[in-house]
Amino acid sequence: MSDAVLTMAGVEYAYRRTAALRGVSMTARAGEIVAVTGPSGSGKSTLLHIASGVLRPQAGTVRLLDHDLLSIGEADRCRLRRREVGIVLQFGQLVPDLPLIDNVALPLLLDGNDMAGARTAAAGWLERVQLDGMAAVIPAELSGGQAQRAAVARALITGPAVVFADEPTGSTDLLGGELLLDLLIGAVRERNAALVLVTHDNTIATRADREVRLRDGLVDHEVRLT
Amino acid sequence: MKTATALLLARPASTADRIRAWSAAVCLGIAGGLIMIAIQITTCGGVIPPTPVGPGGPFSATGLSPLVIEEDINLWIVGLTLLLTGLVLALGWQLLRLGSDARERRMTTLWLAGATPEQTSTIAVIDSVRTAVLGGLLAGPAYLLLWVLLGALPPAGVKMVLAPQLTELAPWPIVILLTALVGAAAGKFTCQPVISTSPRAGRRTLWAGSRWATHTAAALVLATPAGVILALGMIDPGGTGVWLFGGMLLLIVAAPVVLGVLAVMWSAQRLRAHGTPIDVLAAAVLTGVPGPTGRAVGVLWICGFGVGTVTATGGIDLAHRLAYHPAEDESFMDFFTAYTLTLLVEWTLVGAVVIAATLALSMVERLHDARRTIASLAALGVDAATLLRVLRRQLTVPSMAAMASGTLAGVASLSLSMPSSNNLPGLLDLGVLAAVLVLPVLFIYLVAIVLASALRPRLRAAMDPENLRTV
Repeated sequence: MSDAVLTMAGVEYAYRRTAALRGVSMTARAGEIVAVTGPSGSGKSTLLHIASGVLRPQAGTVRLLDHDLLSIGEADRCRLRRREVGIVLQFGQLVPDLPLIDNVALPLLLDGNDMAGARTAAAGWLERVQLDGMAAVIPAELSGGQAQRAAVARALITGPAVVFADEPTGSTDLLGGELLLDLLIGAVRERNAALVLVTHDNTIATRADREVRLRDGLVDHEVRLT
Repeated sequence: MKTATALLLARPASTADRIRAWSAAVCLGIAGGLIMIAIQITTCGGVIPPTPVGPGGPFSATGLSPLVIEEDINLWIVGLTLLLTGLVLALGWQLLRLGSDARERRMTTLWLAGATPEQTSTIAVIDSVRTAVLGGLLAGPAYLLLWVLLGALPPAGVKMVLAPQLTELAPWPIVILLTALVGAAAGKFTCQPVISTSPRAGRRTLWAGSRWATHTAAALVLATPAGVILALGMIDPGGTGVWLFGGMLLLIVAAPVVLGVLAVMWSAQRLRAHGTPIDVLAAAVLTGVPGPTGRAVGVLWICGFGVGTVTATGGIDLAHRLAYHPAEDESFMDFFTAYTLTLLVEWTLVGAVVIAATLALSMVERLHDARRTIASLAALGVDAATLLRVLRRQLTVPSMAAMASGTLAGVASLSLSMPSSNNLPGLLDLGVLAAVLVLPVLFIYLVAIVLASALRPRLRAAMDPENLRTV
């Protein structure tokens, strides 16, 4: 377990009176792809948001890259997310009206990098996700699949040690989804990063090393796939 | 984060955003100009001795209206000018808040991308300060424009301000500084990202019971001193001006902050009670996101208060004059015409512009914020005509109620606090009062109908199934 980049133990979370997670424990190691699956409402997205520091759990512990997420402040969690973590959400979550190149460069820009350098790096990633020539396009002009690929580029631009993806192929067609997944998994494997992938699609889950299945806010079972 | 990055992220990127920023800046500029005019009017009170009114002759050597020169009335004119300033500022605030849903989503997206709360706050502050400083810079030209309208164009005896001296531009830098501070506060306190709740960025939460309680408590906290002030005004007629002035300022703050949202929630309950599908849908949207309509309703309430105050002032003054001058005295009628024309034209024009702009902004914002709901309803088979009626209902019901109650409050507060109000010679009888109440309300209704038709293309855009994808 020494190479564990994410350790969650006894995590609980409730939205008002509705319990989303009821004592979930899981880990992810460097270079490992973990698929979190389960039916709708089982707590998959909540788990991902807690693991990535977007939400604070109401009980339990979360260690991400040697940081105890409950003991560090909001600003530190933001910095951690910006520098060492990549997040891809269901709808891309690109900044509206900001050109694509700046959207991809955003984590570097927020971290104080100079604009020219950040844009050069972003241009490289746009090319890699097959969006070269669309640097000046704003998110509203993109298709769902293109926006997701841009979000993947943004998540990977800082070379994160862990990538979290919530239904990354949710707004893409079948072929687009395959391409997106290839890009994501390829980039993660290349740098021996961990990937925590939330999906309800069993086909996508089969590409993971391990599957953690949730049901009613609890881990139903875990399966090693490779 | 480097300064260049902060400026890049704070830049209004879309055309709509740029229009919003410029419109807000223009409003702040006009408000700044009005403050400078108010300062100049203050300095004229009692300083220049009034010349006795002669038949057909000028009212004073300077050409200034006796309203400005006479010390007693001067305070009222300053108060009304500041009330106008409040209205324009409220409209500017509306414009700054326009698209706040989109801005919240933008901030939350930045936060998800790793921006710290301090960074998102900095970006929001830069955005607002830039607009506010632009507004402050426009205050100088706005002051000159207002001088042309109030000091150069009117004939002798009706002028409200003297030709500007260089020294009268001295408050300009202070106005710029003040608007910058207002902008910084607006950015700091109104553009917070939706953090640590849900990553579904910018999705506003429904009103919970606790928010009802908070707003009701805030309304009570603000309404109690306003009531005390008005009561003191009635007990102490000699100090009426000061008391009422304080009450007015308090109302300017209270109305947009709390009264508007409470009025919207009350209207939603009334609509729901009607039970027709259109009213129930209108009530649902109002309850879901009461903020934008609440702010519009707050502004309209102040508008109504202003209309009521000005009408009552005119009525009371006419009553005074009729009591002390024979009706056939031509000079008196000249005076009254000048008086009422200055105030009523000023108020009617500014009030009409503010009402129309407020309703338009509210409807545009509503169409944007509720586009997913509108697209869902369209997908379920609700046609454009019905949706248009829903939008109109949710706008007109709270707006007309706010205008009527504001006007009534304006008439009542001024009439009751005036020592000679019992001398009114029937001018403010029920018939006139009804007309004063009905006309602005009717105006709102007509503007809403025209706007609803004019915004049909925007409604069609909101009905686009593509909006079903928005979060």
